[in-house]
Amino acid sequence: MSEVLSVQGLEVEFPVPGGAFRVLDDVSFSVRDNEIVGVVGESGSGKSTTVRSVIQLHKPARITGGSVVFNGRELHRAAPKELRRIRGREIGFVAQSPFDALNPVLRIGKQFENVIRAHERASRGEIRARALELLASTGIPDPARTLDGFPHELSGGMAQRTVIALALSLGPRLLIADEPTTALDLTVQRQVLDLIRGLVREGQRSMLLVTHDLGVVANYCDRVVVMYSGRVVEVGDVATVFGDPRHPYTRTLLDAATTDIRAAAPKSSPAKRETAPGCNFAHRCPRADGVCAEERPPLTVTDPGHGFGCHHPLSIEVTTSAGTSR
Amino acid sequence: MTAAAVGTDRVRSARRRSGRRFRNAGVLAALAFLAGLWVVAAFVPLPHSATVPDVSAIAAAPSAAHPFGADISGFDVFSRTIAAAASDLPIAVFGSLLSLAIGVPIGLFTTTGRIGEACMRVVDAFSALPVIVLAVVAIQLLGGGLLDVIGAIAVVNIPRFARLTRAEAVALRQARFVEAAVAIGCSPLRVALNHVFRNAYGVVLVQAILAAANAIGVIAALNFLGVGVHPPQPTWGSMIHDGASMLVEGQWWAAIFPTVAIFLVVSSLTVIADWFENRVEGGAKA
Amino acid sequence: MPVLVAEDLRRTFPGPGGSKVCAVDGVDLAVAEGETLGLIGESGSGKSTLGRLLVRLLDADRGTVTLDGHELTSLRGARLRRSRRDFQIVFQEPFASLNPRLKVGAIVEEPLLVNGKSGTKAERRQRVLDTLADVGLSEEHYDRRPADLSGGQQQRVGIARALVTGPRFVVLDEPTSSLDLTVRAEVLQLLARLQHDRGLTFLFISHDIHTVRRLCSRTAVMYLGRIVEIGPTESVLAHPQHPYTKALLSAALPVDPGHRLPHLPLAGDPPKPTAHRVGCALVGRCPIATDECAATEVPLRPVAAAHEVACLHAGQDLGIEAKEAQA
Repeated sequence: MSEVLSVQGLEVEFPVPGGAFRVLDDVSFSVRDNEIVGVVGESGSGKSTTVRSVIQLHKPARITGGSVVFNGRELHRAAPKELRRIRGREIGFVAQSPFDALNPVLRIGKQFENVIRAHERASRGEIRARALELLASTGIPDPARTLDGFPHELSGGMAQRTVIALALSLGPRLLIADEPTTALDLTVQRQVLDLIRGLVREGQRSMLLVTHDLGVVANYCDRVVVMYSGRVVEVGDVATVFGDPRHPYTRTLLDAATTDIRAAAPKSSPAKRETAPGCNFAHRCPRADGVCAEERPPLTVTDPGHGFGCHHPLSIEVTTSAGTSR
Repeated sequence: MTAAAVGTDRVRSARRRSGRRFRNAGVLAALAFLAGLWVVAAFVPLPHSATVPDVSAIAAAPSAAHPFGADISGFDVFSRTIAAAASDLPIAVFGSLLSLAIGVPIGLFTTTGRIGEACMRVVDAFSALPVIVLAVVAIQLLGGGLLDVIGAIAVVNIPRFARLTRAEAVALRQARFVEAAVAIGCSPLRVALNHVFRNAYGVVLVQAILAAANAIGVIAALNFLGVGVHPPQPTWGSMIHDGASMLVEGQWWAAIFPTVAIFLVVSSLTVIADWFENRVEGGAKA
Repeated sequence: MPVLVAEDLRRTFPGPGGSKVCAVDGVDLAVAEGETLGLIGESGSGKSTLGRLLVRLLDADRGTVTLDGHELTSLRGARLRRSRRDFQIVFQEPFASLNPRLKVGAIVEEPLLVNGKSGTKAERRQRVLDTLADVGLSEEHYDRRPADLSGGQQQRVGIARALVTGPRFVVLDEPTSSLDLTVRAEVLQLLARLQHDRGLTFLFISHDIHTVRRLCSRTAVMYLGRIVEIGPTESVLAHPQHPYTKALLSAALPVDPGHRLPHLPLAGDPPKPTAHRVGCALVGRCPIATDECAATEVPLRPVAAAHEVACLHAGQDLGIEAKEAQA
């Protein structure tokens, strides 16, 4: 299986008055053909910045190091014109709120025209036919009426389906979805996730899916990138990472989602943002010692594709005897 | 933190400190200018009388004896420019404070109910009239003394305070912490003062400073038109009016110095308001 | 004996174009002493409106709320304000619910101040410090402002403010949904401990089934202004009877894919709640709806011990297992 996207040692800085703040530090991962990769982490972990950096939608932050290679092309040093050609045509993007993504004063049909004509010449009739087909493929019951209507006439679920249809209208090879269902009603979320997965699989595409919901990762992703405080702490197959997490943070995250809340006494709350010379998780970590505070743990790869950055990784014995739901 | 990050942090804080210092210097200069002008006008003896003309110096050009020259009646322009501050500044400041004292409660307590709505419509009707017309009418009705001009300045500024406060209050009433205040049993008055106004007063104070700056202009305009002036008391507006007739002769000094005074006072107030606004916003964020 | 009883609560809001939106449509509810009743629903289900009706942040169009036998719905003015020490609410947005200009100490002290009988300044301070300690904060937080605290700490301040007067009943309106996963677990643990230590009675509003499952002894499911299913949490979440509850449960994604339920899709999005309807609100999205569902009132009826469901076809096999097998 070949790699569609390869991110290596990515560093991103955010300008602050008179300087810069490093939001991403040495982020590496890859997305292969026909693969759905989840990027998971808490707020401030840099998960959203990571995927937006791929197509440089992360203004005003800047890439200051590392590489982003998509289909053999180096996106991190691509000219704005080339990036524009790639965005939409080769990499589709779906954001959290469909109503932010759609222009409220344009009919849906016009928005399809704008997107498609930005990349290729097509007659109005051709575009309409293609848009109808796309909308139908996303399960919108009356595509023609949707096409002639305005965004505000749509419910949240239908609007997000429309955004997905728009993102797929030029047949991108990679779809980036940033919390695509967080803003939707619960009973609609799973429908939309099923839809996205179906379209990605059918179209032989790949997807990078950002979420804070471990359930979404567990049920929809092939591989997962766990982020904490601007760094990748663990990466690998979902079954491996969730089944035998080696990084204590991954363990903490899984425990927070599953264990009985009446069990333990509250631990200290995390600070808003940590940047340490060593491991960013050190001061919250039960296994941390002097090395963790001083030396950055490198990403160790054990099984094929299972990597984790930890000086004192959990061993498989420990995790199984800890006995969570798995 | 990596070495690079430490470095950028240091750069950032240094740059921010120097930016703050620069801005603070401007604000200090503005404050010093206004305070100095007021003190000099009120307490320091002037080189010439501001109210008794010197007939020997009619239309005299600037010189050692008359640094800003003298006007068509023989008044010393320097003395009168300074002396005018003694009336113009207090009128502007107290007029604005008075309108704040009336306008803020109107805005704060008219956010709900029919009576509140009716109050605001009256305020709207007032603010539809041109400021100068309103001020002229107010002075005619009140009389024409110093206090009456303060009253006029207050009247023309009430709508801006009522509206601003109301807009802030309406937005704040939607805030979750105001709902929380109701939930813990705060009385309507306590909600209005401790929760709504407490989060709006910074904006209101900024507006008060800007209103004072605006009032300087309004007072000058009124005095230029001869409203609220009691000759030979000097005001910047009446000085510009008198000096204007000398401009055709090429005698620029009688009109230009009071104009510069107005410009400096308004600029100083704007700089202070600007600084204050930044502090208010920063305080809300930090 | 229940601490809080609500009967036939109804509240409408003006909707677009002169229409009416019925957010809460005839809800009866009883919350027993010392229990945590979970209230699950999607956005627009009316769950937050119901919570606000119970603590008198909104006035009901119809119906009554009684706390320990005292009618709350008819209280007005100062009497209402004084009674507020007995029923409190914790909000969803921790930062937005704290006055940014006040210090933590002043925020937590205010309920004592406005309730009269609050003792001396030193006594109030001690009580505030005790309450802060109880929610896992310390004296060092007393003089901080909300913006200096993390999200979890802010929500702890919100909880302290609600508990400082020693209320009987507390509405928790999605108190953890805007918090990060690890912080959320800590705050939920805190709530469970506080309830146990203080014998509090909670109404816990949430859209997250996992959270309700972990915290609540009883669960009510709300859809378009009505409670469609209510009962012991194990019973409601393990043996759901209403098609909507089944759909909600099947939409939740467990971290262990092995525990995933077959998906029961409901057609479309939830409609906007409109003025009073006859019949079941789920008609139109429900796979087993019949003409009768749209034509008759569908009251809550008992199906098991303390477990009630508002569905004419409660418990009917929806055939979702078969559907999943085909797919």
